[in-house]
Amino acid sequence: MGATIHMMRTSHEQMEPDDRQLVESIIAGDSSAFETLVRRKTSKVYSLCYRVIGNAEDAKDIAQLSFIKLWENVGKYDPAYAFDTWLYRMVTNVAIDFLRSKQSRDAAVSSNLRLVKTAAEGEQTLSLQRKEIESVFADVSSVLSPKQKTIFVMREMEDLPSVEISKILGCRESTVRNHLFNARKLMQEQLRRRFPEYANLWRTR
Amino acid sequence: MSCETFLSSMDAAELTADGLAHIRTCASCLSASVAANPDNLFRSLGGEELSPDGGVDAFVADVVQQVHIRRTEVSMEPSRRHVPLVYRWSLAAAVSAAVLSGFLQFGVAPVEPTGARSSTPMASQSPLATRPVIESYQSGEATIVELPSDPSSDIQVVMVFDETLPVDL
Repeated sequence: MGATIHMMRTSHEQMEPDDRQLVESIIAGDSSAFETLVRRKTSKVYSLCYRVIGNAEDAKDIAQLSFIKLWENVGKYDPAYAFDTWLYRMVTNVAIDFLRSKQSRDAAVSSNLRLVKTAAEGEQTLSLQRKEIESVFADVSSVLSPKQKTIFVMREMEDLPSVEISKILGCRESTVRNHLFNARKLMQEQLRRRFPEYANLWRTR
Repeated sequence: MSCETFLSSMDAAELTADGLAHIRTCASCLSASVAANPDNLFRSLGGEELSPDGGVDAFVADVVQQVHIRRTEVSMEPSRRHVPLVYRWSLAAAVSAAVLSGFLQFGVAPVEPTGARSSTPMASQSPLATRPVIESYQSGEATIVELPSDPSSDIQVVMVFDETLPVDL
C-alpha cells in the first residue's frame, strides 16, 4: 500500500512541472506551459494586486498586465533566483506605477467619499467585519506612498518576510523596515483621527 | 487553534502563524488582539487567496487571448518595417520618372531641388503628361516636397512621401 502511494505521488509530481520547468517550456515556445503557469499563479498575483490597489476591477487589469509582462520578459528570468520573487517584482512594479498614476488618486478620493458616508451612517457598536476593515484600510492607507503601501501589504497581509520583500523590490532590508515603520505610524495616526471607534480598542485597555 | 489557546498566548509581542490564522477567522479574538496591537486590525485582511471576478478560468483565458494577440502583432512587425521602405522607394522612383518625363515633354531643363519642405498636404495641382497624375492629395502622414518650377510654366512638381499609399500608384 505504501509503495503504491509513493508511486502515485511520483507520478503526480512528474505530471506537474515546477515553475522553472514551465518557464523553460514557455521559452521553448510551449503556450500551454504559459497557461499552466498563469493558472497556478493567478490567485497569488490577484490577491496581492487587490490588496495593494484596493478595487477588484483595477486589480484584475493589473494582474493581467503583469502576466503579459511575464510573457514578454520570460526570457530574462534567471533560474538562480526564486520564480515567485521575480514574478512579485514584476507585479509590484506594475502596481506601484498604477498607484502613482492620476487615475488611482481619483479612485482613492471616490473611495474616501464612499467611506465617509458609511461611517456617518454606521452604528456605534463595533463589529469587526472583513468588508468594513477593508474599507477602513482603503481609507487610512491612502496617506501612504505607493511603495509604503506595497510593503505594508506584502508584510502584513501576504506574510512575506522583510528579507524577501527586499529582494522583490531590489532594496536593502533596512529600507523595507523603515518603510514599514513609517507606514504603521502613519496608518495608526489616520486611524485615531478618522476612526476613533477602532483606535479606542487599544487605547482603553 | 481554539479561542482559549489564542487568548492565553496573546501577550506575546508577535503573533505566531497559527495566531494570525486564528484572528483571520475569529472576530472576537480579533478585537482582543487589536487591543494588544493595532497592526493586527489590518493583518486580519491577509491570508486568504482571492480570485478575480468571473473566476480563474475566465481570467486565464483573457490573459492567453491577449498574449496571442500580442504574439500576432510581434510576428507582423518585421514585414511592417520592411514594406514601407519598398513603398517609399517605389513612390520616389515613380515621382522621379514623372518629373523627368514632364521636363522632357515641355523641353525645360531640370532644376536642382533645394529641398523646401512643407508639412501641409497639397490641395491640387495641374495634371502631368505622364502617369502618375495626382489631382489632389490630402494626408496627415505625408511629407510633400515642392520642387522649384519654371515661373513661365503652370506645372507644379511635387514629391509625396507617404507610407500609407498603395504600392502600385
